[in-house]
Amino acid sequence: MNPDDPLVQALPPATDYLTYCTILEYQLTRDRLPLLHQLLQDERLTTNIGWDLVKLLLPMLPASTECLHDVARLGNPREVILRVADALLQLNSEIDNFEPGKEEEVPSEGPEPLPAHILQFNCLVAMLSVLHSRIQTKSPSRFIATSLHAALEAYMSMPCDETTLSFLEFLRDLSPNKRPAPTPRAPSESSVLRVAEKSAPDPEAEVASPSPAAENETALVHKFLQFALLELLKSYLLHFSSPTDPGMSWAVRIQEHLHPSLRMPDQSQTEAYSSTEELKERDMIMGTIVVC
Amino acid sequence: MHPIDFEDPPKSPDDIPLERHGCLLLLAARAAGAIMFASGHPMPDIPIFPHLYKMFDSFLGETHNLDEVAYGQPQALLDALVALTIHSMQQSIAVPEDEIGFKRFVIALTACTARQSHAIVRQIPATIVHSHPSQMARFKLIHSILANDRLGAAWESAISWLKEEIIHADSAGTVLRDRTHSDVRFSAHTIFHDPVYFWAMVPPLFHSVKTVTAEGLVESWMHLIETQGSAVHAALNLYYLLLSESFRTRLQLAKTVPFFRTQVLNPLRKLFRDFEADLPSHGGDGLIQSSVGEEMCAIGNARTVGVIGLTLDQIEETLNDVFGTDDSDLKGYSEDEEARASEIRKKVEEFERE
Repeated sequence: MNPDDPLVQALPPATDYLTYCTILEYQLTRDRLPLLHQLLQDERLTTNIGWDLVKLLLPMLPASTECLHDVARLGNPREVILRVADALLQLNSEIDNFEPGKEEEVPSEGPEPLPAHILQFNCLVAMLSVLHSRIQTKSPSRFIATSLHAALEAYMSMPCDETTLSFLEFLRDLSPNKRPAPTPRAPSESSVLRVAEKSAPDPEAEVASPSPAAENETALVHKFLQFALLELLKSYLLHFSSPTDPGMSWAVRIQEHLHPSLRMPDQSQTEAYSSTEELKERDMIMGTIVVC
Repeated sequence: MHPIDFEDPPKSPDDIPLERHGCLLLLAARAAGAIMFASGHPMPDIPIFPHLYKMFDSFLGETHNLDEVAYGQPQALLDALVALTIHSMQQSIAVPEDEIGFKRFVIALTACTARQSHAIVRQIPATIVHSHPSQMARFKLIHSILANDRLGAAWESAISWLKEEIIHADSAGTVLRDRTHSDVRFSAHTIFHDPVYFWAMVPPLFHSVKTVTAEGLVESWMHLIETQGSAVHAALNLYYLLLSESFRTRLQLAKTVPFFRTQVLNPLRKLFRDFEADLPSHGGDGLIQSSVGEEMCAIGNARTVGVIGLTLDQIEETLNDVFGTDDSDLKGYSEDEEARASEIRKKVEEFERE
């Protein structure tokens, strides 16, 4: 860490948190992101400024991934969650202005570069997973409703394999009956972000004791998750439901399975779905949805 | 606004609605996984009657226009409904509570499979049709579809079901799939081998011919090429098939020949002569060509008019060989037979009005 760097020199208490945020707006560059990542390990600092960094860091993805994860792990979860939801809702409106082919493609760590809006969506829902795991409240359903609303609005404008898997991961993380993450089986799963580092506790934690109200909350959460899963499924299936796209071709494939002698060798949909990567991935995603 | 965007946060899980299309798609995904991948996820029992039929009704409403369903509904929805149908068909198909429900379900299912390029899917409604234990119910269904102007998109399918009822019925009157003519045992048990029932079915069988020959030149050509050609061809093919010795004797086909010549053969021949006369190369005004373009006109004439014309030639040759060219030599239906046929048509018309 360079002590002469403006970001180090201006650290509170040298300045107040509001001034420090303003300095970050002017001084933060991609080159300084590793430094910021180090600085954000200070839980007190991140608790106070983390919520303000979401908008600043998002356009710098994927370089800013670590910093955004720090914000999710160590920032004030109740404030950060609102900023993340806002960012998701604005992500939707940015897509309305999106012109295919004109957006700068940012290199990702996956095999192919993902468009920026998908990187941002994936990062934001990964942050939501962390934030929700931190919030200790008697009414988790209220936070979940806000997050799911924002995530669904954004998702519905960009349903694709990568965003679908990220969203499913988020739903899995929210589930009261959370199971271990499945072994990745498809290329698009490499775009799903998971935060492994430990998170800070909720500074505003409420202690919930067993009660009918708590049971009702569990039921509400469960129902919200079901709702979101169904909306996701609908959007996912509709996004490739066009005259030239085979969709899932369930009917013809089931028939081919039940009556293999009637399969047309050069037109078999069963063959197509077992040999074409894009179609195999659809089956894999549907399998994930069904077990969710 | 999204349903999850509550102004007042829900207080109870019952305040959060689960979107029914999503539910249907999830059910279909489970059914597909259960069959194709032996996923082991439990699937509820969804018998075709009454449960699946109610689902179709709920999502598609009453189907008056097959194209509205086939082209107006998302393909994912149609695929899901058909997938669930196949899943339900793995159990025995219960008898429908009423014939109207049976008819509505078959029509809706036919609409869902109409856009499918795979015959293996398009033939699914046939299994439902032939599963009904009542021959009369099956007869009324086929007749009502063929007689209905609005169900033209299902005529070819209905003719195929009729053919299967006639050609592939066993001695108990049950239609067996994947059988050949040699497997047929003529029986008094099936009304589809009864000559009077057959006579009641003949006019609707050729409804498509009546449709295409009743319009102006260009409209007739367009309807023949774009929508009705396959039904016309299917009807003619069936009639030609029934001219084989065993069937024509059993069904007393000779009595239908005057109708066929005056209502089918001659009108189609005249229509095709009019098409030919319209061609600029034959000194015509070229009305069809100027409406659809030279290339489309040539393709339509070759693929549809030409093929149907060949079938007409084959039928006419066989009719002349077997029955002669003079209809006055042929014995018609007796008064008693006409009265029976009229009773049958009345029963079907009552059914069609419901």
